Amino acid sequence: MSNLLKRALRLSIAPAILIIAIKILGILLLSSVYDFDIQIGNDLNHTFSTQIYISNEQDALFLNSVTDALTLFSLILPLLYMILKISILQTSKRNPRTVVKLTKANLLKWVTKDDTNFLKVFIWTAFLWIISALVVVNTLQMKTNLVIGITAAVCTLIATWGVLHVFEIESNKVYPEEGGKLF
Amino acid sequence: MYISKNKKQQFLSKAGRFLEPFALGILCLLFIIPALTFSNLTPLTQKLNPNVLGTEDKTGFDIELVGGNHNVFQSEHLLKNEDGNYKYDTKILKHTSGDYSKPILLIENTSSISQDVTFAGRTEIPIGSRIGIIYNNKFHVLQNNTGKTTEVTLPLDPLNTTNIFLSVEGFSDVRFQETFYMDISFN
Repeated sequence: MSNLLKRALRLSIAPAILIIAIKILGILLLSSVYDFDIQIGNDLNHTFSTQIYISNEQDALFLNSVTDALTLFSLILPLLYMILKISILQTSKRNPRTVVKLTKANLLKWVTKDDTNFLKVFIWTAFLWIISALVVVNTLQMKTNLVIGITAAVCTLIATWGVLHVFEIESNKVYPEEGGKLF
Repeated sequence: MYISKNKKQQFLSKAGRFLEPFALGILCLLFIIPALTFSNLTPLTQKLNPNVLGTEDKTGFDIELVGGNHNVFQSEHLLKNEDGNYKYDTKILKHTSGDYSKPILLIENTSSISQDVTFAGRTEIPIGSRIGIIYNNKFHVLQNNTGKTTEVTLPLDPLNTTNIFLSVEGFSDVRFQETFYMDISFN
């Protein structure tokens, strides 16, 4: 088995679990805090045989919007952290002032710790694409607030730009470029 | 048994190659399962069923014969069938024209939801009088004076006890004794 596949498998587990956990916990927590009348039912006419039913349409919209937003941000925040870390590391390599600033802030060890790579960023972005697509579909079906749908679409575009930026940084490691010339 | 390091490496390499398609499938599932779960966890709006498994309301009735003596209705019996429904019968003695009624049954709806009870009654030979039940001071015909029978379904309020009267209304005297049979079923 290739190392890439092994690493991809290992790195995909965390976001996959996070999505399911956040969505389930969000529904349970919100329904208990706001005392929503929720029921789990079985209907074979739907794509899946088990559904969550709620009596009030407004409650359903609120519950879905908040849980969608929570899931979305649970993917966006780690992704933002990873992209930021890679970008700062890259800047510090080019700019000695950044190294000084990082040392002063006692962040040099954090930035230089090599636990973030393109594959990790790409996998998290892929999950973000999937979830954003589902959130946008929910928004079009009026199951989620419009603001959440727009946020999902915008964040996906920014994350895509971020993953391309990380790809550029990683490819620069293989083919270093300085002033438009390849070394 | 000794296995050389080289053979071990070869075996692991072959096993890895064999497992690779499965690993690829698992990787795909790692993306598909959260997406499907996320999609399926979207709550649907629907009128909820008040009965939840394990806490369902007990559907049931308690039914009792009132009994007592009456100059027209005598020898009352109430029997429970195998299907959970009841059979009631009484003798209607010969009597002069007029209206006669007697409380015959006490029915208690033991559940916390409204339920229906259906009555269907007849005599073997029409007696020329209307026979029916009185529920909430209203007469419901079960058999008219020509012998035509009608089923009567009554809603019973939750956790409530109802008194059912049997009534005979006739403009002419009844000069023979007849047995009245009534089926009581719960819906």
